[in-house]
Amino acid sequence: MRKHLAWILPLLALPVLWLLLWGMGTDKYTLPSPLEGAEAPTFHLETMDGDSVDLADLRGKAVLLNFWASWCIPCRQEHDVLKLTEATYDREDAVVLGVVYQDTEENARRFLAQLGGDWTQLLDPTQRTAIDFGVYGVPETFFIAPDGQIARKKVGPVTWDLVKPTLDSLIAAAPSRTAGGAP
Amino acid sequence: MSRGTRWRRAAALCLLAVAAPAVASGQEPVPTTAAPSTGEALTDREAERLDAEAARLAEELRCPVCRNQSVSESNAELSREMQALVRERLAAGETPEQVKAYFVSRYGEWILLEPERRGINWIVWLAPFGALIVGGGFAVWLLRRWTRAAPAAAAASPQAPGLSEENERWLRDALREG
Amino acid sequence: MASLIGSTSVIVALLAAIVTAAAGIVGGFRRDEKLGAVARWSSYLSFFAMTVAFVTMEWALLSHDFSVEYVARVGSRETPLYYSAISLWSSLDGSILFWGWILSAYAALVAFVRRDSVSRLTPFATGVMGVVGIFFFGLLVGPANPFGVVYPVPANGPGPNPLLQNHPLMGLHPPMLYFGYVGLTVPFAFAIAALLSGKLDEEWVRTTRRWTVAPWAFLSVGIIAGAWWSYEVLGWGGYWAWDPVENASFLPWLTATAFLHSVMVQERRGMLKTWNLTLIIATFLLVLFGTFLTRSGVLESVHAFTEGSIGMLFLAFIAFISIVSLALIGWRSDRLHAPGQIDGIVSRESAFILNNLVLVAFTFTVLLGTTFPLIVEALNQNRVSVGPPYFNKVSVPLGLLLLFLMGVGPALPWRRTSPEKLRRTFLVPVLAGIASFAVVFALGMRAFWPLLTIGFAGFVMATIFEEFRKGVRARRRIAGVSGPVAFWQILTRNNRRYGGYVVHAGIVVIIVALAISGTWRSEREVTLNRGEHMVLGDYVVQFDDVWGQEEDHRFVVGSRFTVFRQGKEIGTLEPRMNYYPNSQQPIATPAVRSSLKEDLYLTLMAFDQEQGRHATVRAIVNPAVPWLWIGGMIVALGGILAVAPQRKGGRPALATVFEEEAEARPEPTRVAV
Repeated sequence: MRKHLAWILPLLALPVLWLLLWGMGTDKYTLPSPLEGAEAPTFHLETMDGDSVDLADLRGKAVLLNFWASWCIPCRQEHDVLKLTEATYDREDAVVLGVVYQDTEENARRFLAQLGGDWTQLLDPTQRTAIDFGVYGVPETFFIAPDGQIARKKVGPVTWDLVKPTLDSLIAAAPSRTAGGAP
Repeated sequence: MSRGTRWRRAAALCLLAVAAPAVASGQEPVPTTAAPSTGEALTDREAERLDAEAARLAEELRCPVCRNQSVSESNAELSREMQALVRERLAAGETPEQVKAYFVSRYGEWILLEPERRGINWIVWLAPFGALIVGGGFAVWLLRRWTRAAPAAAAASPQAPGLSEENERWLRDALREG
Repeated sequence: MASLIGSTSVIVALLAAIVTAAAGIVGGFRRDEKLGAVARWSSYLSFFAMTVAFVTMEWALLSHDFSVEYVARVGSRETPLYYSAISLWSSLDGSILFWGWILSAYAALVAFVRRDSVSRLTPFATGVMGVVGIFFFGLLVGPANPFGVVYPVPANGPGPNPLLQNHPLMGLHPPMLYFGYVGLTVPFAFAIAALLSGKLDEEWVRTTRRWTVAPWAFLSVGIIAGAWWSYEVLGWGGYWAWDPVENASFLPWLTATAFLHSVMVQERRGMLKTWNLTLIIATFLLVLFGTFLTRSGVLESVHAFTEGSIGMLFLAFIAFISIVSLALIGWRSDRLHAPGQIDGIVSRESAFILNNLVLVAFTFTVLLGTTFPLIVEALNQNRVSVGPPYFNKVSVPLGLLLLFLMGVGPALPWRRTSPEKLRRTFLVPVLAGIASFAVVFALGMRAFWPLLTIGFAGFVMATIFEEFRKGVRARRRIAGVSGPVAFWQILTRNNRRYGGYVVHAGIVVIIVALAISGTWRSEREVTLNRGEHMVLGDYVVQFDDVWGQEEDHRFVVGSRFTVFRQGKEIGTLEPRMNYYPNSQQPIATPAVRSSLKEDLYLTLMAFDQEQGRHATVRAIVNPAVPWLWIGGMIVALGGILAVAPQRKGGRPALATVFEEEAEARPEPTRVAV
């Protein structure tokens, strides 16, 4: 028995080593969101134009909710994708909403003047809505189904390869579509 | 442009990024006691208690944008808003558990700085005691085994009883050296 | 040019390390003195080569030679000289260079000090240090090469991480840590040497005593310096966050402390051989684990360097060391079976065994807590956090147990004792403990754990005091000298023991400071307009001004607060926010006013950017914090005392032998010679 210790003891080290090896491959910066698959938190926010938007009013449409800021560099990268989304989809099917995160209205306007984009922009000065959605950085994008459930959350800039299939499937699954009724 | 100008601009931008939201959120000094959303006035005593409870809770919540800091320790804007939200919810009558549950429902279990005592997390809560008990049991067993072995060994030892081995050796050497 | 010199030196060091490893180990097996000498000389060569590399890099940093890759990455013309010099360890490659240099220094020193030794252990130990050297120098030649050439040569560099330029303590904390970490390679090398040679008696333990205490002391100072740095720089008012990398420095410290104690049992009673071998191997593995954590991205941390292939290499080396060491223990297990023998359960041996138990339980707890998020994620994909609330909760009872043992252990005699002796030894300390408890209770402390801590602390300090008193009294009786002379004599003749007591006293001071600062800390955050003030504790803090100022390497927003105490102005504090060009977030530098009683700690949280009319300040009154650092210095002093060379080549004088034996007796007896 004692002689075999030379082999047995080192085996004890293996599970620990394997755990560390596995740990090296994990992504430490992306938090899985508990809201995926859950109902989207309601909000009622003011827009930059002075109107207000209530999420509940958008039932029946797919919503792409994008948290961004003017100081955020990846937000610039995804801005074109968002513009493409706005141009591609009918406002009856899918709506793009932007929420300004930890930024002033002035900075946001300047950003939009530079890069374009004319979908509704919401202001969240106290970040209550951001916290409500579990946002911890920008850009973060939520794909909300027509029935109000959060289908998918994306941390980091979105790509067209992500947006198109996701929105398409959300729209296809909308009740008005499947029932074949008029919009 | 020159390096100097470039980072001067960056510094100014940083200043703007940091200070601008502060400016945007209002010029008034932040009150030290939280006004509850219901608009009722709080007595000083209640306000103090509320502040203390909010501070305690803030120490248990993790700052989502920092590295390993609690919401109460962190300077980040998100943390400060979370702190304000905690105070609001407590003032509105929620219990600390409910406030924690709210944050967990938004950010996941990760937002709590100590794991909830359920399921697999019990491992980490029971481990210290487990280690002490197992180790303690082993130590006691060992000590008893060694104490029982002692009388037999002492009887067999021919040298002067009581000297430690180190000192015995020293003594032998010293006597040999004369 | 510098790159060439540096790269070449490191390659030379690596080749020499290969020779050292081969010659040392083969020479040990063959009992070949010539090979042993080859190993010795090639470790001298490694040291020489690494010194050349070290000096070359420092020169490149100080002269802003941006043709060297590391300098191009962390250097900058605007960085002040001191911070340029210490930027050697500000980033991954440089820190490994620093580590490698210290390793080569220790290896050469061991080889030199033992150059006339005929022990079988020496060539093996030198060889093992060569093996470790192969890894670290190999990293420097390969993936962590700081001496790459940059062409075209940039005019300037980005400077080190802003966090590392904010406080001079950054020049103390990593070096002390590294001298500690790397130094622990030496006792490990001797342990492996003992296993390889089969010479598993007390020789390796005896030999490495000093080589363990010194790194342990460095590590202790390094950890305390880190806490101090964190307190002074990070602005959150705390000093220990149970961050994974802080824990990684604490873990080997715990096992090294256990080792320091249990080897005393092996030296005196020949027991615990396997345990001691396992402990020192675990200590070295924990050292490697700590460096792995900072460089692999396995856990999130304030300390993390870049991730990359380095992590894999570290893991591979850890695997290699653990597998080989464990296999060696298994191989030699037949020689390790020695029956233990204890005369009495209440004895110093038992106290040391309990000490080890608690320290290892503590190690296990902290290790589990640190890696738990990883374990949970591996098992069910969930992300949890294990942070300060958890660690604080579990470390308090364990710390208290240790505190208690610190008081009981040294006062118990070896082998056995009697109830009568116990009563005599512990009566006064127990009373002292109760008195301390009563005093802080009267002062208003009501929290359970801190109260208990203070009570135990009083008990322990009294036992330490009693030990000194008994030692002085015995010395006076035997040598007939006066009190102060006797005191000096016991310190110098029995420095190991009394150095240990001084260390214990330092630890008690630290624990008391922890308890007090945790209990009586108060904090307020207020926004003030100019001229307005706020009150916290005894202090009145008035906001005077906030301004912006450009410096060479950063933009500083400073503020000034005047502090009053009991109506009198006692000074101003200027907390700042530093904006560095390459960092998004500013670094808030707190302003601290320390007195022996407490710290007043101000952090600037926000300010009116346009006209500086108001500022938000967080004020903390932190009682007893300065005593943390003072306690650390006491620990360092005790460590220095313990490793100081003894008179007469390391053997205690006859009188000391009699003192110790007299104490070991249950009743006073004459010792017949």
